[in-house]
Amino acid sequence: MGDQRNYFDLLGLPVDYKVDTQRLELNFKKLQKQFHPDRYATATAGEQRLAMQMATLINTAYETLNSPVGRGLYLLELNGLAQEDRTLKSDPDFLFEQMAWREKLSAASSVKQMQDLLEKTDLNKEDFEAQFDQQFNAGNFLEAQQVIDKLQFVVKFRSELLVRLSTMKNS
Amino acid sequence: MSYSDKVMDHYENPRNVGSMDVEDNHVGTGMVGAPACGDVMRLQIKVNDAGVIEDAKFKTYGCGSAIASSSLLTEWVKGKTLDEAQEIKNTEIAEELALPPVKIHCSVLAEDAIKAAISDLKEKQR
Repeated sequence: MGDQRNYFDLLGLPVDYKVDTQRLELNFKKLQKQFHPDRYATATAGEQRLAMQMATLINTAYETLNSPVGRGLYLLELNGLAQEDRTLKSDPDFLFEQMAWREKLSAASSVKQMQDLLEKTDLNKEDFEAQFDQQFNAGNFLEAQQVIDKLQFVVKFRSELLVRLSTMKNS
Repeated sequence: MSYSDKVMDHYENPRNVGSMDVEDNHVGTGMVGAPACGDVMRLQIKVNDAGVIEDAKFKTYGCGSAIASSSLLTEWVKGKTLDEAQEIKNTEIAEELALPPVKIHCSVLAEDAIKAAISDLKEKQR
């Protein structure tokens, strides 16, 4: 407890962008059980505090590794690229496309239109995930960072799309 | 988090929303985005032959602060020369809108957008 292992070690996974999600899920649940506050009901205050810290760390590690964006940013951080507020301005074509997608979503008036858009978004998301994996494994961390920046726009757009879609289905 | 009155005003009544012809030689287009929040901002300026900004338009998909920052900027740049517009600092925008520290990057985005629009225009007119 309280060691300096990274999130991958903690959750028993190799340090890699590709993640075995079943194993991640399984190891997370095991650790969650192991450090559950109920098991420390009769422990000393110090042990309880440590278990609580560990439980929090496990949750953070799981959430980070379970997200394609979080996982990518964390891998870059492990390789010395700090997370900070960046502006993307070097790629107007990508941004024009992002703007066009958002305009399409605003104009979409049927579930069908939104599902088509979701399908395209999913393909786009998978494509950027594959690109990140490739650049990261080749040791091109700055290029990988540019890819993860783009993936963030796609993921954000996707979650907005899903909200709109469920609102439309329910109305 | 609550927005300041000025942010709310720009958010509810954004000024100069729209677009101009990207191909027009008198129009400069700045496209920027903030990966962390997924905001996308397009800022366009139109200059006359004397190099003065006659018109400005924006379209922003993002939070209230990002919309307000770009809306305010389009008001500010009208009537300015390119050199004057180039000098606008994000801190002036943040101060005018009373942006809280976590929203400062929205004003940075707006500054980046006007700089990108100016350099796009200069590139075109060279």
